[in-house]
Amino acid sequence: MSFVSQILHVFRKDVVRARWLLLAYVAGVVLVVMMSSGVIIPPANALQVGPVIVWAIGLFVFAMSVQDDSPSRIDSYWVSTSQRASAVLVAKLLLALTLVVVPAMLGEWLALQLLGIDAGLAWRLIARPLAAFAALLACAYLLAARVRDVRTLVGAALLVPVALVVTDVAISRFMPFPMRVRLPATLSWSLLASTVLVAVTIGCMYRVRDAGKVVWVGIVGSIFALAFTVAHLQFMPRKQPVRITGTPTTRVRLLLGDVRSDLALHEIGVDAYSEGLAGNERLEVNLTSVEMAGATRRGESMPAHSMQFTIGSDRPVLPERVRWLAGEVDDDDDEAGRARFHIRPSHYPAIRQGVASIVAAGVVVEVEALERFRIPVVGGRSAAHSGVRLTVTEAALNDSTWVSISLVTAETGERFSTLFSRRHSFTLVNRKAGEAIQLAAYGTPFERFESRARTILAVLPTVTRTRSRVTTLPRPALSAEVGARITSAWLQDAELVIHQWVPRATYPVSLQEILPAFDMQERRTVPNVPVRSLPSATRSR
Amino acid sequence: MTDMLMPHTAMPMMNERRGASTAVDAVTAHDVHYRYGRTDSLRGVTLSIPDGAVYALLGPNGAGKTTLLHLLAGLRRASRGSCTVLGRDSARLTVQDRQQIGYVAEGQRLPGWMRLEQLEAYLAPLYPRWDATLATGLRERFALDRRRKIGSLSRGEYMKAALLCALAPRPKVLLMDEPFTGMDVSVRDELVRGLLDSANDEGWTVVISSHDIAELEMLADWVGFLQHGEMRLSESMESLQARFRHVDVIADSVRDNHAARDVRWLAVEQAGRRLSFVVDDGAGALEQGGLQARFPDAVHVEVREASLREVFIAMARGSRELNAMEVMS
Repeated sequence: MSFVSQILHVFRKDVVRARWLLLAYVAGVVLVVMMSSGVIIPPANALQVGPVIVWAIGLFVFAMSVQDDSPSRIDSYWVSTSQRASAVLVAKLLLALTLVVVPAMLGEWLALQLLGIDAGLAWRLIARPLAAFAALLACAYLLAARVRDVRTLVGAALLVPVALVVTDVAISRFMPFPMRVRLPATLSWSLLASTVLVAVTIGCMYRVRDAGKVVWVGIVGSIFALAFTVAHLQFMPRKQPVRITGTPTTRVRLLLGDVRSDLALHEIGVDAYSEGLAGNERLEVNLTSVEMAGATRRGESMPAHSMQFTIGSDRPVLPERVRWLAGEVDDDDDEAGRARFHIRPSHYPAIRQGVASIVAAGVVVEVEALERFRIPVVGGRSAAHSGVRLTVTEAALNDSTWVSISLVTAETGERFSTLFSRRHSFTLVNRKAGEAIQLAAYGTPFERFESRARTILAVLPTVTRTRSRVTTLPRPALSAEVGARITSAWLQDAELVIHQWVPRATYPVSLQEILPAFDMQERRTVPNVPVRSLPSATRSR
Repeated sequence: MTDMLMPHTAMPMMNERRGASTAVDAVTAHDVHYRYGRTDSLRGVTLSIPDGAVYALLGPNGAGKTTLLHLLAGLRRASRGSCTVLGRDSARLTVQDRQQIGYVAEGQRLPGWMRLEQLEAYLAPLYPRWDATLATGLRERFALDRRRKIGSLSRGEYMKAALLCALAPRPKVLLMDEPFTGMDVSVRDELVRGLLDSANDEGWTVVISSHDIAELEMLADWVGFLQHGEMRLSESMESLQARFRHVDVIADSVRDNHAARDVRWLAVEQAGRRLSFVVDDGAGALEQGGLQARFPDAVHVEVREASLREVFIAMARGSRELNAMEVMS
């Protein structure tokens, strides 16, 4: 029997073995796709539980086939028969690829298509979650190859979430933000290391079946390396160096806290990278000298905790042109770093013509529920979720005409989800003003509230710092990243755009120099906004 | 069974098989060491099994029999030393080599979800010499239902299925680790006879480890005794039977005259006036007339060939007693 014949022979055997589970898996993929795209109305919580079950079935099918022909167990039957280890290995990989990964990938792609995502973008969006899924499959391979039966497999599988939590906590707690942003280098290394470690461990199991505890060292190491890599994946886009000629200078409009100002982009494109298949579709641009005019209401210089860059005030701001830019700036550090925005080549004319605007989220100092707005929902899945009811709780400072969005909740039937991801973009768009505020650009928390599902769109950490005071907010609290100060009028003119599948991207922001072009006339006023403070939630530093 | 395992030739006589070994060694082990963590499972095991021999691997529990069979089957790698099967290093067996080696073990995990017919159909393409007639015959003889799932078989039936799958490819070397586990006596006896005949007819070399010494004695023409990871003896059954003697003495002096006993006597048992023991006559422990001199009042002295079981027990106990003496000293 030739090598290829043997691969197919083992593959056929595995398919026969897992045929019912495979059918269930494919049916699950189809069902989730139909639910997530609104083709069928999902029952309560189905979109939360469904994808997880589908993943679990896929992983279990693969793990079971590996365990049947365990490479590392002496008592495996196949090792005493005339089967090539390499053929068995390839057969397992073939099964994973053709019957687990491909259906999921096609299902996800189809779901995105039904959600109206551009085909090219859909493939790009699939890549990362698929890489994470592949990492899970690798974990399943490693564990199933070593453990004795299904029960121990389930027990050992707990190692995977533990590894994910540990690495995620380690990255977010012990790795400073700028280092996180520079992760492409470490991502490459961790990707390489985890791939090599997994390959060596699996190869070792096939070659030296009695390696004993050393194999466990390899397995645990591989799982942690994979978890570390997956945790990295969310941070960085693919990069491809691109040079931009010229240094267009333009003026941008800044909305920062209660200060609205003009900025000048003196230089764009010193270090530019592209993200995307065509190479130049998205550009990451260093704004090396963004200059900010004005100050905060109290005359303090307030670092921009996050910024949002939109281009073309004369046109509606579309979500795909809105990139969430979040930075963690130390309040005590007046010297800021660098700002990076994603700009498409098609935006260059708009930049050169000079009416791009930056909306920067200030720090929410005080929060009070004042007024409820009903905001129309557009974009993305508006059709499937036309019943979304938004409640915007806003607060205003005593001497300000500006209000802060503190909490936006959308009461929906279900959490938005597809097979692999729950990433969304929630953007408040004011078409009249040509401005937009992105409330959240990644997976949103979800909770049951008064027997209805409630998606919290804006979430802040419990403690928000400013120079002068510390505000403690109850959970679900607000985040400096998503809190923005806008007027009631602005809000009333706004629409909420819910757009899925916007990859999370966080970048440090640097505003260095203040320009004199501060135009107070640009400030908006909000008439008749009752102002109250929230003393219980506020204390002086 | 006999007919099935030898479809093309007449059944040979058992005594024709004895001594059928040739000068070529089908299985060898040279100074093989194997460590389980900090434990030396095998310590310098050396053996040679001639082509066509039926080799009984004996030893108490934990002696290292299964490990040695794993090494021979290429399932483990020796820490030191080397094993060969059919002239090939067992650590580097190719698919073609494996087609000539059958392996059956008590703890082997056959695919429990498969029906027996599915397993046969799965294995057949992997072995060019797969004998479907033999498989069918074995299945009928073992009274195995081909439609039953492997996982639903009783322990005995499970081993029968494993044997079927190991024998149907007509291997040149058959490695068997406790293959009779769970089988009833009649099937076991039949299987042993079938194996015996087939081994001779097909020229199979069989290495078999079992606690069923009676079956092994009927089956084996070579014996290896493994203890504490060391090969205490490895020789032909003829040689073994020529060396070891079982002695029965009835004498009044047996009760009191402990000094008359020889330290080389193994598995000494005394019941009243009766003393029995096994002795390696090859070591000169049973001189002509020596027993009469030690027990002058003996009314009965019987010296006969020791059975394999007696040799096994004698060696196992002898080692324990020796250990006990070492501990006491």
